[in-house]
Amino acid sequence: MNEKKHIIALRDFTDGSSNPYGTIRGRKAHAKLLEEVASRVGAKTIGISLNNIDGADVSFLRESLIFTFKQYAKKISFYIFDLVDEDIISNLEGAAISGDFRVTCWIDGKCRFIGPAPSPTSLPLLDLVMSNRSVTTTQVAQALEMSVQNASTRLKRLSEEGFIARVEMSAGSGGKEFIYKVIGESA
Amino acid sequence: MLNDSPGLKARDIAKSLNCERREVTKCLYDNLEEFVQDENFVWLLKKNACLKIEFNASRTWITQEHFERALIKYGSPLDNAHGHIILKIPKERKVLFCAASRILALANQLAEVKRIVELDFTENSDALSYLNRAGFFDQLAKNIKVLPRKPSSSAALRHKANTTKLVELLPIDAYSDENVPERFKLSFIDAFGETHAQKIHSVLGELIGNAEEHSGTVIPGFAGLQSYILKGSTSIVAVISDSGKGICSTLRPALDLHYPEVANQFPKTLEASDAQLIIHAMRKGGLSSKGKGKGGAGLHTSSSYAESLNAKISIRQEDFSVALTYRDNDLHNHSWSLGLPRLRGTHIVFEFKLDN
Repeated sequence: MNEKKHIIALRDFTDGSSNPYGTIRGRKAHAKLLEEVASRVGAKTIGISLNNIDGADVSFLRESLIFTFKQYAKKISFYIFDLVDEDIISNLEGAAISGDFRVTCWIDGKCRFIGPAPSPTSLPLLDLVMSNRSVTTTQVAQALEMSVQNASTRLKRLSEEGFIARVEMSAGSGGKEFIYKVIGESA
Repeated sequence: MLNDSPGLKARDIAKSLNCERREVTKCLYDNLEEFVQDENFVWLLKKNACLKIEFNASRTWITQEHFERALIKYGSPLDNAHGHIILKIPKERKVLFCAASRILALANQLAEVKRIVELDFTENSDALSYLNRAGFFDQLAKNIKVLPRKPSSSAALRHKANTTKLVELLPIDAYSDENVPERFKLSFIDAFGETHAQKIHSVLGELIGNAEEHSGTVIPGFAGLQSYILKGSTSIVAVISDSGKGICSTLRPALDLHYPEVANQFPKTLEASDAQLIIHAMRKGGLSSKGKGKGGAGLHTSSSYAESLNAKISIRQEDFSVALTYRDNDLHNHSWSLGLPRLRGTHIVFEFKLDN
């Protein structure tokens, strides 16, 4: 079953400015974004487009986006795309670190995580998910030669840390299984 | 007696009071916080006396260093009882925004505590006209007198200052519709193109945003962007100035609660701990008045962009300042000056060479 695609343009929440800044204006945008997200009933994944945003400082991005993502953590997965300027990407990175939250970004068709770095032991799992876009616990266990239980624990932790999405699916055997996948997609 | 008849000599006072002159002289000198003797050796009540502060500079540009030297020479007019203060711009000198912003802040702060304040440009009409073009007088408290006369503000010039020589000073107001960092960014692009424009926007956005959120003052803050040429090289000076509580007054209450290790590292009892705390906040980041993971990016982000632009940052607080110099995309050195004459608020200067 294909989930409806949800996209929100940040520019619609910046009072018409393509260069939003600051904590106070970020909070204003945050309040409006919360309303918008709440109106998307049933959304599991929402993409945030930065199209027509020419510049934005760390504080604005933290208050408006990161704190919105944090508020919906474990309920909705967010990703950011339409990122073209290196300084905005750098500010987004600063915002995610300052807000202590990980975010998936799609830059030039590639998935990139910003915010607090993953632990070194998580990197092989993340690389596997990113290269396959979507994996099961069994596939990870086989590929990385670890027990299913160990793979399951570590994948679940990565999803809780905000790196990947965890989706419950019907297994071929008739039971349930979890699929772990990258959040969102390129524009 | 001095209130009714200002400008009496000690012997006249003694005669009127029918006492010894030496007793009067001793009394006057023992109470110099109340009385002042002028160049004609007559005595006045300080509240009726005038203090003239001249911002002298040996070179073309009056900078923040010249401002500080003048304040050290005369003492902070916020701390003495002179009721009338003249801030004089000497002839044949140009005023860099780093000095202009402090002169403006000082004048507004003096006006707020009901002093009579005059800005004297009588010998330097060029500086008056230059600062008027920048919007300087729009930020000046209405009850401050400008000599020879306050120019009528030119909104047209202010709104599009000068595309070849960037010079603009704008008020900081969180609830205004105007996006000041965006305005500066577009002016910068007009004058010098896209390169560095994004970085300037980010730095100004963070620092102006901090002033909006934390300064907590009735005196409006302001920000400015200016280009100037020194020895054939174009420099950009950004100033962000507010008359509020200061960075440490905002941060310190949160340290004990959210960052005990930082509070221990910079105990308030140590002489330079406030200066060192600001340098720490710039270099390490993550210190927020609201606690961990809730902010604290502004100073650190400015420091990161200063690295990439090989900039200099100075931050003037009520009675001290810190300075950080970046070179080869790294912090080259940092220093602080303590015991400065009082100037309320936070006055930040971010400066870099355009051809870096």
